[in-house]
Amino acid sequence: MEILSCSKLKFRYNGSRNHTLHDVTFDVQPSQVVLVVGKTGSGKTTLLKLLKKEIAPAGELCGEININGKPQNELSLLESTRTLSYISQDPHTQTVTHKVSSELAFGLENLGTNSREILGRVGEMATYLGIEDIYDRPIHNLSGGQKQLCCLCSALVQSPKILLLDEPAAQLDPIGTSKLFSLLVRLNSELGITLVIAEHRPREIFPYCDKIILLENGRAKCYDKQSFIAAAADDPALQGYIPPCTRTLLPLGKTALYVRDAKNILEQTFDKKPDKPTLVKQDKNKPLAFKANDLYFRYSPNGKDVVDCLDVCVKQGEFFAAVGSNGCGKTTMLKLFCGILRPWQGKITINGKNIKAYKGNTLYRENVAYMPQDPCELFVSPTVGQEFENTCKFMGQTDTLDELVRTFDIEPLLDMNPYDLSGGEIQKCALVKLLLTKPEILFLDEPGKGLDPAAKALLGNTLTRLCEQGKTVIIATHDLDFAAEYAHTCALFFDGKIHSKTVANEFFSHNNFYTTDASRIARSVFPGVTTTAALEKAVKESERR
Amino acid sequence: MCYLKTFDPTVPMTYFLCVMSICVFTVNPYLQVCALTGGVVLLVSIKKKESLKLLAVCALIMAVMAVTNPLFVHRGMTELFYVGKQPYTLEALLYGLSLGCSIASLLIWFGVWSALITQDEILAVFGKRMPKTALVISMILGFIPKLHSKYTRLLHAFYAGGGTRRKSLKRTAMIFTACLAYEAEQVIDISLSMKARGYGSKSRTYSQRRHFRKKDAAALAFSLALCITCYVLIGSRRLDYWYYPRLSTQGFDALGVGSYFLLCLSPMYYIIKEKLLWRYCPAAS
Amino acid sequence: MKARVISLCVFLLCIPAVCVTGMVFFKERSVSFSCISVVILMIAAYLYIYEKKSSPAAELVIIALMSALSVVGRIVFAFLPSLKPCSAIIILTAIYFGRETGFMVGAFTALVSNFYFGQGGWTPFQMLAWGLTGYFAGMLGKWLVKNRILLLVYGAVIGVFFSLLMDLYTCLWTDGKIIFSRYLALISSAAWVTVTYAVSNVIFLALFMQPLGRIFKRLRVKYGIGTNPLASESDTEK
Repeated sequence: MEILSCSKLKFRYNGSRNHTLHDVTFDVQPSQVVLVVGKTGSGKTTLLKLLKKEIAPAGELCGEININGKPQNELSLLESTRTLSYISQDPHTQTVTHKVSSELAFGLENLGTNSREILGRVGEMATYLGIEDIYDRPIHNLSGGQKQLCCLCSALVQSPKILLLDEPAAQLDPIGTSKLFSLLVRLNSELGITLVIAEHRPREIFPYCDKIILLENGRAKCYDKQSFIAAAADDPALQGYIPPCTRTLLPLGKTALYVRDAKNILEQTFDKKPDKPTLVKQDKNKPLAFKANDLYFRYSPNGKDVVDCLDVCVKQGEFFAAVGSNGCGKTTMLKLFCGILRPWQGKITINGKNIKAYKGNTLYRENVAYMPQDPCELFVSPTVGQEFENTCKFMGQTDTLDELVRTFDIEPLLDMNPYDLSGGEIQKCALVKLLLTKPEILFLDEPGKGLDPAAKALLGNTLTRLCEQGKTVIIATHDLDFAAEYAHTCALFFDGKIHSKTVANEFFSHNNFYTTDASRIARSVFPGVTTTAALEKAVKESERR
Repeated sequence: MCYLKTFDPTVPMTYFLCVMSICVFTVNPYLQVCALTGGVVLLVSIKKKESLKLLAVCALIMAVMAVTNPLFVHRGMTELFYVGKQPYTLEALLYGLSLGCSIASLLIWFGVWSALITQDEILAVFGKRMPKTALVISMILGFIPKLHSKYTRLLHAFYAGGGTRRKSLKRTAMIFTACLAYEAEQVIDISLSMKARGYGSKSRTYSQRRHFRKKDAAALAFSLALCITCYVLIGSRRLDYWYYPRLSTQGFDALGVGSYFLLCLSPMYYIIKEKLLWRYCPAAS
Repeated sequence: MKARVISLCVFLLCIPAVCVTGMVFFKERSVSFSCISVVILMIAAYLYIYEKKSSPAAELVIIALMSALSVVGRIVFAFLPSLKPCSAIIILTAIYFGRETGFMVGAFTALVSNFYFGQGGWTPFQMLAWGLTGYFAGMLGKWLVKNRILLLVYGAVIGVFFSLLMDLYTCLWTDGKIIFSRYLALISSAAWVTVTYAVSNVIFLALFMQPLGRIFKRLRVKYGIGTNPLASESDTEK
């Protein structure tokens, strides 16, 4: 019998004319892994929230939702919490208390469980998930990945049968993502917990899923893995939802779910090309835009040096990406580069002039601009338009505003509150705000974090265009695919230093472990190919054996 | 972990209330001396060198109260000398000393309190009877570092927008309110996360990591017994003391003073026991 | 109903009982014993009544957020000598979320900020003083939100009230009873502090009035959290 079924689900938000969901019908068998895919705004989150009635959004709902064979409305609060758990994408807004220990106990406390049982159950779950080491820590000190594990654990102590996950890895770095998904797979295979996961990049979970629900304009289509891959071969719009290793083999008419299989198939199909990778050569004659010499920085007199003997130069018109894991100090490094923090030793040169020589706020006028991890932080005024006006006032001119608004097509957003915008929209507005100051060098911290593939591609193309216009772009990121796709040069940030800065192409084909999936698949056959797009092209154009 | 911290938090809390309710409100110098000695001994043995500053402040308070009280109060028979036309009396001086003593012992006992009763203990005590209140306190403690780091990040973004580095009321207020605007957006998500985990059912509990054992009951009964003895003796006027018009000659009751002294020093038993335990049967060597 | 029973119990039974106890045991300092116990009892009763009520999740989050905000305010504005934004934040919260939330935010601000600045005998007094600051603001919310001048005047008056209550505490601690002349002396010696309380309330209310009002209005309109202070009493009850 199915554990969860929806039939003819129709939903309209209060105050909205259009239905967000029309006619969604599907069912889920116990212990299945179900993937819900679709563009941003296709109603993935709405669907997931509707399944759990305590958090269902206000609106008009028609159709039936049955859980465990019972209509959803007949479940008591206790039954509902014991059956369904929900985990959203942002770990920061899900934690309620101040310590991991109390956060894990929270769910059971709500049900009136006594202390002894709570301690036993929490201990069991924490040991199973391997998070004993963070049990006694304040939640605030955890990394995003650890926070998400804590949320998962606190949902699991209620021993639910179904886990609803809304883009659980959107805010995590690659290590955190793979840790989370491998745990989810374990929960499914060892405990038989049913997983319903909404994702727009289901690379890690795709090989394990039993059913894929595609939401398009509020309508649902159900596939299994094979039929979805077959559908993706015909419809390029679906190709973003399958892992790179599967995608690159589509033109060959073969299927692989893991990197190792794809690699073998490629090696069988194509001749090995022993020649050196074709590298994109850099223009050596361009002047240096940014130079950091022997930088040291720490937050407190007795603390560790977060940035420690760092040297780097970036040429004008270059797109430079510093990659590295979460919490290694990339953000601190960027803040040093653009003069927000000051090193206790070392020299930074911007456009040939020492950073200290920029008096007052001239550094941020027509020289340098900085975008924080969360672009919302740039918006302090109640509307986007007012924020732009303030920036224009700061610059003492308004001539570029209209033009920028037109190029970025954000006219309708001007009167809105920055918090009402989607991730992609706020990213665009933040870029406009930076460009209003006419910067020569742009510093961006984790651009594209939490964005869907379309918005990410738009951002990447915009940045590339800015470089072509002669601006310099410096980003810090853990998104290797983004760096491989758009950056000209890359380097690893580790131990407070920048290591092996080189052309992006060479950087990724040189790295054995810390590199993109495409590079791992292609390295023996097409050396020098590091992005999925380039690999697809190579597969299509090369002669088969 | 300190031996005293292994008790259920209600025990030290009740103990402190017992000790402080007597030392603050009594004027009996014998009881005050007991409280002061007990407090100083405990504070020094728990906080070691850190306690010196507090002790110095307390000594200063006592001295100031003693010297200044006769300037306001002119009661008392033993006139030491005259300030202007008003007498400066020994009784008033000693009464001032007694006042200073009660303030000082309160400060010292709160020093001991802060060493033994931290956030976790307060949460545990609230959690017993008022799980919702304990939850709110825990949420506040979670929000504080969140808001503070958001403030720092907004400040950095403000610098990058060419903002002034000079601290000013206007600037801080602007960033501070932006900080609230940001967190307020998350209110709805956090409350959804609470509802998703079953918040809203009638019977909420608060998980305690420490349970009430026999040891706790014994310690609690011991402190309460001593405390009640003192109260009974105070109520029966055996521990009354007065300063005016002449210093009282009575007020020393061996049982009362003795039991209060025992009460004030009783935690020393555990501290010494722990010291000896580590010296003679070191578990970790 | 239950709330009324508990508050009646506290006012008719506990408070007189405590006063009698104080008089029997501590002749000399009975007033101070009674006052302090009464303060603690009042807070305990209020917290207990609130505990037994069922309150929606969003309300708890708002109380926690606003209390945390005023604690953080005390930290980030520390560079300005003796100006604290706490009262202003408590007053504005109370106006937009009602007197109960106001009281809780006030009481928790005092309790939690003393985790950072040191607990002491003053904690219960501070809890009551800030709690009442919020409670009264919530009661007068309808008028305060309409009239800016009135709000500023309320801020100044409540600042003085806060200071007087804390002076009462100091007086009780030092003398063990209320000697009126000493209380007056204390008030006049602490006049400067009283003035800074009133002034900082006025300054921060003027600064925060608009932005906080806007944020709270957005919460109400977009997410349905909080009540409209301008709506009539019967509407707010719903």
